[in-house]
Amino acid sequence: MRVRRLTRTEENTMRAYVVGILIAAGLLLTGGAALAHHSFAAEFDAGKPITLTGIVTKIEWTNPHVWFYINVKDSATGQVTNWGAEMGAAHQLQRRGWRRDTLKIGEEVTVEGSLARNGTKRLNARVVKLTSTGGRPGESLDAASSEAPSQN
Amino acid sequence: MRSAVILLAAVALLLAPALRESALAGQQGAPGGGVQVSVPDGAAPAPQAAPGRRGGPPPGPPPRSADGRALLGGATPAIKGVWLPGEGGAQAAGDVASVPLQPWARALLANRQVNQLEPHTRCKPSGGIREFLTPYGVEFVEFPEIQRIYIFDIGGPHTYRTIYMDGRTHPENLQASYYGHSVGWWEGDTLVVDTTGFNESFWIDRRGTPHTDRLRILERFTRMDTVTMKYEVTLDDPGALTAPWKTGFNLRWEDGTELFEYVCQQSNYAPTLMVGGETSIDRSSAIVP
Amino acid sequence: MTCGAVRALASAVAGVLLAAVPLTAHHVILAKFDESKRVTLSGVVTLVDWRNPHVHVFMNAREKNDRTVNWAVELESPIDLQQGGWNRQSLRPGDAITVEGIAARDGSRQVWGRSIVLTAAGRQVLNLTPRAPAVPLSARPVPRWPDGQPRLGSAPGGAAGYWAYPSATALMEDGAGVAMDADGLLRNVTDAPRVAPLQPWALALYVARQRRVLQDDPMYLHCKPPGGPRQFQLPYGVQFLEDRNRQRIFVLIGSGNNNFRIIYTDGRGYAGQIAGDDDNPLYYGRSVAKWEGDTLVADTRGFNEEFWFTNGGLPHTDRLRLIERFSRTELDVLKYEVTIEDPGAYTRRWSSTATLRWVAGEEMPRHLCQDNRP
Repeated sequence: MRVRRLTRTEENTMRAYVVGILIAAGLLLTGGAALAHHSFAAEFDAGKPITLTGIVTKIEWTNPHVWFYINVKDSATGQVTNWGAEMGAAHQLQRRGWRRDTLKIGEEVTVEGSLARNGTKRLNARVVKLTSTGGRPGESLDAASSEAPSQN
Repeated sequence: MRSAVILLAAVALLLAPALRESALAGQQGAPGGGVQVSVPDGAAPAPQAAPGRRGGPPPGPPPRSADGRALLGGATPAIKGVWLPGEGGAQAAGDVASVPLQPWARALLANRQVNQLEPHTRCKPSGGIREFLTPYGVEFVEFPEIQRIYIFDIGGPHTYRTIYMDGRTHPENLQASYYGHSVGWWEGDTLVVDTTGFNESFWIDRRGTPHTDRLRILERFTRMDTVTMKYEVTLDDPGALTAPWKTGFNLRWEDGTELFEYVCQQSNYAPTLMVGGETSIDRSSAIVP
Repeated sequence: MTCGAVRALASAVAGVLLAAVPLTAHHVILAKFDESKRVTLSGVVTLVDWRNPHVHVFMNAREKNDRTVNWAVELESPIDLQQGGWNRQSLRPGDAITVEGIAARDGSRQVWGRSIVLTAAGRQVLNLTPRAPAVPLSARPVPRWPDGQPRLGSAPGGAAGYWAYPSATALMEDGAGVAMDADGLLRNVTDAPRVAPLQPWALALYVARQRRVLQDDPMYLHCKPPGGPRQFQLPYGVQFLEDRNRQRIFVLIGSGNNNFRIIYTDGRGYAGQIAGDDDNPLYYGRSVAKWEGDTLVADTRGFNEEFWFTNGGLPHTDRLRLIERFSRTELDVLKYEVTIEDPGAYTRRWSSTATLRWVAGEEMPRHLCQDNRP
């Protein structure tokens, strides 16, 4: 069964149709996308800066992004919420003074960054201040945020 | 049907947040070693300035092989490094308006600014210009005995590109692939590479300039000095472009860095967009945005 | 792709997006399909999806009540089918076919296709016959570098080539003689303790993985790399590129994600670069090797625990250390002996041996696990 060659118009129509499918698919797929390795702008809102202080509960020293989680206590209500912070890639952090054991579970840190767009308790970290222990108290480290993508 | 498609596209654009232009952080890398006229095999390395990413002595002339040709790597085995995007690189390659795109391709490019579903972030290999636009780096390694040059990519899916240097031409029934089929030759100090046979499952640059499987690329790599490689590329794609598109930027040498392990799939969440997982998409869906 | 096919794709897309059915992703065949559920389908091809890791042929089949429904027939990878002489045009939308296969365990309209007969031609299409390279009549000499060291790749000016057709595709202690299939699935789970000297927790985990038909395999589920001996067990082989100038050997891996890794021969220690992967545990570990006569002896440590280091799911910990001995005994044969030291998972050291065959005159296939993922 031979398929005849399409004319330029038919080809363009088909491409437009395919593009339409992809757009529709893209809209439906991004609906639930939580922690995809996305560009910063798609996932976080630079217009919503946020600073949190909390106790480290988990560290994932992985690619493509390092994540850590902190328990943040609301000073008014006393309620504790767990937040996730996204940093840059491991090698980028290592070049900015981090090692995989710089953060320790149970330490207090202060994180400055940008809030996630989708209402979840996540932020993209720009700077992390090691508040209490860990051998470098008071030191602020660049979190290699993808907001201002570096060349290394 | 067509109007429905256009309506969908318009809705997508209206709902999208504005794209933020990210600042370029392109500093010049630190210079590498001193001047080398030839590469003694196994002999002691030439004295060189301490490597660093900032400061150091100004760049010197390009290192050369025993037969006088500029090298794509360090002057001696002791001088290690990788190539990162330099001046003119980063997000895009060239100004968007200047790219001679066909109307369907321009519409798709606009959509890609919105949906940001770049295949590279989903660990797909990305050929073309994209290979040189990661913050991880690449290394060019020559294997003269088997007449090939390999480009090893730290980032993305941590794979490699093969450039055949034995004078062969592109085969008749080329299977489309992410990196295409590359044949190369030297013109003085410039490595010229002719590549075709790309599939359409990736973006050729970071902002998503569309391409088709009719794309053919001619690249020219010229080692200008110890820390700069000039990258000039002409893209010829009768399926997506109205005319050949010439662009380029510099690669900068990051002295001291060796190829290191990076695995994109390590913690790449969002199973609906990534591989398998608890809510993997049924295999009968063949969407590749 | 015809416009008809695009419309078929569009309906498929719409169907999927509206009713996202969670299913296991790439897998060992028997994890997804039930050998006892034989199915025969007759109908017409609607779409051929020619991508890794599996080609799918979609067909409209008529059911007993005369309803027409769309089925997905899963086959081997494009690489395998191409090696068998087939291509993406071997079947076209509109072709009438009869399919025999085994059905998916979860009741979805998917079969693993064991036979597709093209009605018009009256013969089988997209089938494979196993092909290992013919054994040479006499051992051919090992190609060597000018200093006498054996070459792990082609001779200079020689044809391209790579190593494949492993004699064993799963780890088992030498001499254990346990029956298992090519994926490392045990014929009898009760044989598990004989496979390797496992500690009790590791034995329990191994048995659990086996009982679940290896469906939790991170290489199949999430495209995690085949670190350790596994890279030498997989169908698309490996290629060694010796960069003597820089005292390193690149290992190119044809399966999985077509990764490269590096074995260093410069006598370095096991510290990483802070600017690179630092001292983070790796999928491929850190490998330093030296030549002992004609054998390359590689000592690899610093593995993470996020992958399976062999087909079949034997566990390991981050204390894993491998001593691998590569000996090219003749041009066509590479002997691979690995000693496993993992005081976290095993009660003592143990070893396993296999051989690989040289495939001359061909480029190593490049399989990309990501290919057919969204």
